Amino acid sequence: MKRAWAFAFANLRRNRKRNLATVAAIAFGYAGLVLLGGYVVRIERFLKANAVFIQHAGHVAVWKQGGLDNAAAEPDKYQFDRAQTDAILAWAKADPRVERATRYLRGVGMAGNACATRPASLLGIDPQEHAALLQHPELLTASPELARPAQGQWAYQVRDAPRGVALAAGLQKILQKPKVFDEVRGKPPAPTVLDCDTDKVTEQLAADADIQVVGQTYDGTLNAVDGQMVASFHAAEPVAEETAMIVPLSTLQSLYATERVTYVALLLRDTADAPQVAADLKAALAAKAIATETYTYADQAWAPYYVGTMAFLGSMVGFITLLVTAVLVFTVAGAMTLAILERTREFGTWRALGFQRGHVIGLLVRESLLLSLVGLAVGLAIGLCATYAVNAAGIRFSPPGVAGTMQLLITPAAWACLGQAILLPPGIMAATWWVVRGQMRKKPVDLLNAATA
Amino acid sequence: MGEVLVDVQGVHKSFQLGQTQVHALRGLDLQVQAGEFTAVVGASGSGKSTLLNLIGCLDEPDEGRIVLGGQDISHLDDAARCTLRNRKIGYIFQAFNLVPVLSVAENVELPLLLHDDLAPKDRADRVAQALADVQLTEFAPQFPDRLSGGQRQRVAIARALVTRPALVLADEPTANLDSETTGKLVDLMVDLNQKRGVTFLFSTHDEKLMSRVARVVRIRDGKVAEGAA
Repeated sequence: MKRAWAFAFANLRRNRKRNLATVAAIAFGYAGLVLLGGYVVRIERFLKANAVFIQHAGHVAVWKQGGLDNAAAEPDKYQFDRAQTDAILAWAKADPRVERATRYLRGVGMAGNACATRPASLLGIDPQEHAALLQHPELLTASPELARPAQGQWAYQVRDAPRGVALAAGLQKILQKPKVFDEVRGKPPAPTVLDCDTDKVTEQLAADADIQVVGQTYDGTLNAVDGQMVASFHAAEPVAEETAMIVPLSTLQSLYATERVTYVALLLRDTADAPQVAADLKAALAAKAIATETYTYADQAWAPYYVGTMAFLGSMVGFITLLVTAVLVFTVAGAMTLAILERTREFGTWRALGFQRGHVIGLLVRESLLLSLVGLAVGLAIGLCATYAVNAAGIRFSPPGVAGTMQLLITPAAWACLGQAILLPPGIMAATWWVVRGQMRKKPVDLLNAATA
Repeated sequence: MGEVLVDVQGVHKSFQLGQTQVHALRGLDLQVQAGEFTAVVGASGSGKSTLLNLIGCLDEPDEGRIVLGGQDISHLDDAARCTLRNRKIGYIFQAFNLVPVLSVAENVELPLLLHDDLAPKDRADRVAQALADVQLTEFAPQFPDRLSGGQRQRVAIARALVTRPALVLADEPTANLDSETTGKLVDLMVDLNQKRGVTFLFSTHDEKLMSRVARVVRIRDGKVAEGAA
């Protein structure tokens, strides 16, 4: 039908209050979705940065075959030796998709304060590698708060502490070391032998930042190294808050008397390459007779917190989006039903003039599409304005695993806005089609004589 | 007079009104010649509007035949009925039935939008001619709510004539108009009938209108009581 869109647009001038109310319903519903989507996108970036840089998952991680499950129990068998590590680093260096490769050694031991010891979960990383991670633009853009320790400075920032270690805040408290290395530098040291059974011990322990780390070498010998607590941090998981400890890679290798590393994590220039890089790396190492398993940050087995949380958030947002869409579709369907009933005689006139059922249905469907598109456009504008207002308000909160507070930010993404809007126009058009189709089954004479017209 | 344009043969039509079966037409026969100016009169409920609706392909007869321009139109499918209504029949309604969001010119142009063979300029020419015929040229850009009742009905007449139909059906076209406006409108329709040879068939209660027509068909109890041919 010629000029159908022009007629549909002209018809929006009717019942302006009702159309305005319908547009407002769509607009505010969609604005809510834009805000929700923007919040989830923000959370996703935060969690991804946390997984990749703070929990040290990397974009891609390579373990020895079976290492993820068995390296803790049989480190000598399920960790990479020097030659294997060098092969991985060489491959990473040669591949332009890889920005950086970082070696990690994981293990367990005891953290002590010269009076008592506590079980500790140890992560060894080269301080300069750690620096590169914490200063990475992706992390600083997503959540600069994550890069800061709860107290003190990271080992790479403290030049005169060669064995600078960082303790989770809970472990720090248990070991009664309230002050970090920077805070006790130049002050009288604690006595060589502490009065562990007297009240003086608290003061004596607080006088320095010395930590002893005890572990078993891979050949079964008990070993210990001294370290200086340069920083404390908040672990992402409560259970790790009382056990986690970050140690220079060389210190941890020295403790275990090994050159092995547990895994190597790769940072990529484009995270979309992660699955392919993981596959290529695994194949390349297999060609050198190194059996490996590779994971991306989106693998449930490797980054369960990120993957699980995003799956939950995704299903929640999907459900809410469907719910809001359904409400809006029914709202518009209701408005269109009223419009159709009011205009029944007019439709009879169109039919009398020779227009077929499909012409009239098409006209109404176009009207509903225009109505929904106008509503979506207004809703997007409202959503973006509200986003600006929320971000400008500087609201702060304390999420787990972050030192201090972080700003509540909403970061709508084009793909999320589009994804949340994409169901609405077809839904509204289908509802309109369904409503008007029933009316259009009537004979023209019945439309012309309709009592509601 | 020319050949038979409309031939209604033994048409029955009934409706269900609640629990009651209403027999609107009971074997009605009627012939209308091309170029005639015919009024159908009768009491309320006598079947005038039903007859016009059946001839106009807005409804289907239960029994009998209706032939329009040599074509049996009694039981066509919806698409054929639409084409027939658009190409051969013009309608004038009692309540004008103009589309309020379209201008006078757009209302008149409406049925021409289904004429794919007409170029936009030809459509515009036809609309201009139809508006000139009803002396509404200067009102082309106005919207119907700015017009008087008589002007609106003239727009409806222009819309009915713009497709150059063989037959114009008008159901109580002057019922909503005052006597002065009715007189002018009747003059207009008579003029169009005489100058352009358009066949008019309309229902009315209006004595003034009846006095101006060449032929009056009276319907009583669903049958033609007077003036069948």
